[in-house]
Amino acid sequence: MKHLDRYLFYGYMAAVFVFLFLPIVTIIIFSFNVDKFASLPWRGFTLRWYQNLVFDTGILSSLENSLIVSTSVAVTSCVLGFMGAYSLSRRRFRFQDVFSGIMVSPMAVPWVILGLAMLVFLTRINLEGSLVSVWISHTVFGAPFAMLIIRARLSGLPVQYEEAGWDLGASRLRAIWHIVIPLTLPGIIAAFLLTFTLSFDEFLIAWFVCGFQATLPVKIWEMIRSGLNPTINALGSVIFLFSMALAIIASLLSGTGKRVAKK
Amino acid sequence: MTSKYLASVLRKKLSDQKELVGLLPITGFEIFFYLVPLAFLLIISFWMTKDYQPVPIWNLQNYRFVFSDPLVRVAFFRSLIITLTTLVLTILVAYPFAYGMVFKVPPKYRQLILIAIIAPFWTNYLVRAYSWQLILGGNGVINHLLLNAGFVKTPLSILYTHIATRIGLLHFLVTVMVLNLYTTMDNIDRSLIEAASDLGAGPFKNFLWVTFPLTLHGLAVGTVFVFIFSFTDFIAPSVLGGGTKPIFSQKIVDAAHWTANYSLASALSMAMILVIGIFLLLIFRMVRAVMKEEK
Repeated sequence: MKHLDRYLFYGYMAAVFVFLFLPIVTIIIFSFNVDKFASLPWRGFTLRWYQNLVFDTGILSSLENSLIVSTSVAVTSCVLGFMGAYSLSRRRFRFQDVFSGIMVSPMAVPWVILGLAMLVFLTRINLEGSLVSVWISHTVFGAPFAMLIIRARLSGLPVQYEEAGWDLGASRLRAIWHIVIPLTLPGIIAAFLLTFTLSFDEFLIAWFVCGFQATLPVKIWEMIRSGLNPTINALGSVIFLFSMALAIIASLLSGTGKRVAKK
Repeated sequence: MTSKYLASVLRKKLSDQKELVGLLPITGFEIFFYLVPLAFLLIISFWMTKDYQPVPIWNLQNYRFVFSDPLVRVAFFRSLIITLTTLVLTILVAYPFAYGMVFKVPPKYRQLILIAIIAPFWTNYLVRAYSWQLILGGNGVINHLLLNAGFVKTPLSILYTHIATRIGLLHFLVTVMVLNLYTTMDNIDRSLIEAASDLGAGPFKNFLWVTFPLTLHGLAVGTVFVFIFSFTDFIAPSVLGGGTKPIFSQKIVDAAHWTANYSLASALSMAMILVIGIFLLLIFRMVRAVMKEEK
């Protein structure tokens, strides 16, 4: 009787987990269902939707687009983010709070507004309607995000390690390359994986600026719009497992999973 | 002597400044590709659109439309109601969960639970909304279960109403709220709670006067996130809510994507930012008032 309230809480938490995993489990189950209409009752097991997926050139080319964009975004974000994080961790300066505020804001600006702003501006400078525009737009929020993650890792790194390198005759860049980067590598990899996932999953901004170069989420949007198509289930299942794996690896690697998620 | 000293000070200064060089690329990038586009958006909200291009004819027509058009007003209030109800719903679902996680679950399982609730959070939001279609639809999982169990005679129409929109939003936002609450609850000094019960406070009183006030900070931060996200989300209302009862963000997309009236879309965006600003101000005031009272 004493533990009754504890079990009530366990039951409640289990129910919330059912709610959280319901759409994920559902789409995976339906991706193996023979029925063309994604509805119950169950009509039998098939791999046909996965076969369709592999032979659909539209999906494959949008997948290729997405992989190109997300990789570019992740690389750019990590380079810009690491440089910024390194400077921030070594120096305080005037207006640092203003700077940090501005750097956090791209993640708070509604994506519909960011997408619109990017579309209008990139059209003005003739950079709209290509993968480059998606790359630029995603880096706008990717780079500050990477900077936050890498900075969290850097702040745990004593300056003395680097100074020891200088005393032994290493130049600043050499010390960064041989001491700072190896020691912050888990943070950098986590930043890479998370910005990759963010960009890979982002639909709205990409839809605004990509023109005819559909990324995968834009392609999925078109498929959902055009109606019933069980191939979406197979595609969705693959993407779900892929992103979850990346996110779990990232949060294990950095140990910053908690800090990042806190925002 | 002095000149040598000055030179060395100068050199030191310069080398200190060198450390800031790393900030230049990201700052330059964010100014040119983030602040300038937002500023430009503000500017063209005072322009007109001709032949699908914003042209610099300054006027207030767009704002006049935003604040007087009845359809925009309906969409605005629809968004506001959906947002506020989703907010209440999210807090109701997330609070007991976070509380159980911190105060009931043995610490060794916490990391596992954290990862388990973060994992679905990182899955593709668009595909998740689509998956809710499979669950909530006329032939969907829920209706199938309800019909078979005999609870209902005809399938419930949940999909393509804003109830479905709320479910989609809730599914995403529960995690955000739980994580915010978890961090503040985890930082609570347990001796405060013990002290209160030593002084004779029952569990209910203890929660109301000790634990709950100490979680307000996390609650406020989570609330801000939930408000901004549900007020501005486009995916859940489009995929789950259907298009028949447009909300505010859909108005922006309609103006931009379908009618290519970019200056009107910009004015709508500015109105959206204004609403968010007002909400942030309100929350900030409330938190400050509560803090004062506690002192």
